[in-house]
Amino acid sequence: MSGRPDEKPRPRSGVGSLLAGNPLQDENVTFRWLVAILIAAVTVVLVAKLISPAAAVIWGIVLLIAVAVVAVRGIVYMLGSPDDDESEDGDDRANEGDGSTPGGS
Amino acid sequence: MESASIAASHGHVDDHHHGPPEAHQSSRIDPTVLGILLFILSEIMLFGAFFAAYFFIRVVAEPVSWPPEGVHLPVLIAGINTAVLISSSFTIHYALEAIKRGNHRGLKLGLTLTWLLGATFLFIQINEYAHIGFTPRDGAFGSIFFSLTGLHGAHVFIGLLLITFATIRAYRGHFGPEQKDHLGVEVPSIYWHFVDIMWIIVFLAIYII
Repeated sequence: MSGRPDEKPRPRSGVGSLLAGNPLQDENVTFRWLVAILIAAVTVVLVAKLISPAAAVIWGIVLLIAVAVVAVRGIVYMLGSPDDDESEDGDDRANEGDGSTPGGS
Repeated sequence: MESASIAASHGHVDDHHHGPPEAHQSSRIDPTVLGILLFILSEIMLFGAFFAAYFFIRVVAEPVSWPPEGVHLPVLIAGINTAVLISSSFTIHYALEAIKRGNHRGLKLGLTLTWLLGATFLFIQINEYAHIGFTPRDGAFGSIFFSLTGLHGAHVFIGLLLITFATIRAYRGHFGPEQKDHLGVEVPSIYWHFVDIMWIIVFLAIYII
């Protein structure tokens, strides 16, 4: 059936592949997030010291947006869409009609 | 009635069911994960409100000189303190990896080191408060500095409490290699990493930029 979690394409490019997984369930993923943010912070410090604090602010905002995009994509993937739930409910009703075991469990 | 009829249609009626029917839940997300997600999001919003206040004061209210004249932030000490806190994330990660391999000694060592490093961070921060030369009543900068770092310090304190419980349990031999047997270490670890990530951002905003 389409729309299953294991069949939906995951964000697998660049930083997304490094941070793939659920940081709320797996400490390893959270730790990778920490290391990635630590490296990003070092670059912000370098920009602040070598160029200017204003440039560091801009670079920091760019990094924050990048992190937010990765995080939001992960959350959207984790939550799924209402269409997926509706289609699975529909499957359940169809299964109930022919007396088979409800799907999704 | 509906659940009973559905159960009957599958050939087994649960005669022992009491209370309200089970709550509806999304088919794609575990309720526990959803709870943690909402908690983390609320924490991000809480810190976000303080960051918004900080940058508003910095950019709009007092744009001339930042930090104000006469204020000297101890960047070196705060940097060392940052290294101490980041190190504690590595030690708690080590503790969790140790118990995943069944290494109880490594678990206890990692948790103890994490607790000591976290307590050191708090001690240095309190010492910094005592010697920094201004108070929360000394203008907007003082207020937002102590609010933001104090909010984070409160989170470190809560994290230390969680690690204290985990450490006591570790010394009593409560944890094991299976995931369900070391959740009491994994959940505080995730929280601790979150606290560290927040400190990195606080440190950058206040001391570096």
